[in-house]
Amino acid sequence: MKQKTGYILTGSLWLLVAAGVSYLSGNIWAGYLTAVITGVLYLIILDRTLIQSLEKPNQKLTLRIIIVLLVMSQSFAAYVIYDMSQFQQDNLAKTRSSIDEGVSKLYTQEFLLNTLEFYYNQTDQPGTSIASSFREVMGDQLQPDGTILFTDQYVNRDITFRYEIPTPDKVIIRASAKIGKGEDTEFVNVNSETGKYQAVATVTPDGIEYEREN
Amino acid sequence: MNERIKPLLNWIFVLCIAGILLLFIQFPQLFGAVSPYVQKLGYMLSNPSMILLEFTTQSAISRFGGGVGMEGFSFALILGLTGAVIIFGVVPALIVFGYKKSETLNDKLRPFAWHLGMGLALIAIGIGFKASNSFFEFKSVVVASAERQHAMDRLQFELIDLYYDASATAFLPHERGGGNGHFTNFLAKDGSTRTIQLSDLDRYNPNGPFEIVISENISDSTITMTGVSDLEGNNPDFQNADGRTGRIQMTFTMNPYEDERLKRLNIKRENEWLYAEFE
Repeated sequence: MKQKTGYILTGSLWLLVAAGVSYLSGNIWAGYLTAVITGVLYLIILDRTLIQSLEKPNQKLTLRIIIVLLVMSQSFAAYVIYDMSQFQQDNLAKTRSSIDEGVSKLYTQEFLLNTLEFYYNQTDQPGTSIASSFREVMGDQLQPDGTILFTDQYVNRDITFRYEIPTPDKVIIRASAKIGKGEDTEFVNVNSETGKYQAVATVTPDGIEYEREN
Repeated sequence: MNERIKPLLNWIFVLCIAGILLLFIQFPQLFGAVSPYVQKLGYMLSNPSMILLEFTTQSAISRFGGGVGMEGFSFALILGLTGAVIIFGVVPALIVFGYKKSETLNDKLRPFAWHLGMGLALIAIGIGFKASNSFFEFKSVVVASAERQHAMDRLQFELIDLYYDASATAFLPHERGGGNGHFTNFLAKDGSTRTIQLSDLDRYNPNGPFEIVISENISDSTITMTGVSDLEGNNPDFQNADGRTGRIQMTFTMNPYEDERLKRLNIKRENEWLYAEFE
């Protein structure tokens, strides 16, 4: 009875330590790795005590072979599955960034192209500038706080668009993702996010430029 | 009971336990409404990493959609850790105690603890090695597919950039090096007019990873650009726009004078098996 209670306590402690590692590190795999390492240490102790005390040599050998195969198969499986989970996470994050980059490229340049087209169709009108053309094209989508609220609502859900008009002949739109990651994890985005995709598109009478900032 | 049949019975019991666990994992649908729990139990007792993979995949999908990740402490972790404790702790102990008890009983039919421990051990070893091998093979396929998808994303972005560059340049007047409102109205050196060329575009990089071609069938208002990748497509004899054969290519046709262009994006992927039926 005493021995069984000891095993239950050891197992519970083992679980608690591994779960604690996961909780503290914020990584579920760190806890599992701790459990596997602790398990191997436990098996060594088991071998030196209980298995050593078995009377028949063939039982000792069978059990030791089983333990070695058990550790090998579970360790290989854990490593390969961990590797797969990391790949999945990275791949999904990359795909998300690609989606945000595509939406950002299309929307910023589309509205700046409309602006440029409007500008060159109106150049004979006095007072026409890139800035006035932009305001005309965008209408009430331009918000007083410098953001653009597209009529297509889902676009704003994932990306913040901000406009600047530094001179009458220059308009800038900055697209900052809310989910898709950028290259620099420390980058501070204009929408107060950190490390997210951000790009800037500029229109002048010479054309449109698009540059990725993160 | 015949003493000679007892060792055989021992292994029949072991195989029965292993078989039941295998059913839990491979055919959980047999257990109807409780099948998800049955499968989880099967993995917990044979390959607990699978429970963690399921959890981290859900977490990554949640992040993809803008939700918060679920890393750290969770119910899946408890199941996974319990599985590890059972496989590394309880299973070998069951076998040892089984051996010890059969020594004292002096009976060739081993106690149930031994059958249970041995059955769990066999299935954990088998499923562990099988999973290692399957995931190893699966990953190489998935990585190749993901790399191809990311390369095609890059090509699509390059075509989008060049389309906007071309359209904006076409809007510019001649004195700014543009087409004065048309793709076919650029000034040649001798003063005649010509169609737009890649060299007119500031953002075109001739040393880029893709070969870009502007279609000869260009009209005043519509431009078609094709980007050819280095990736091998499904048909090795497919004629690519840049003169090569067998590569995956993407064609983008747009009319910047149309209204609501974004709703009419015309991007066509060619010589790629995923899109073959649409060609």
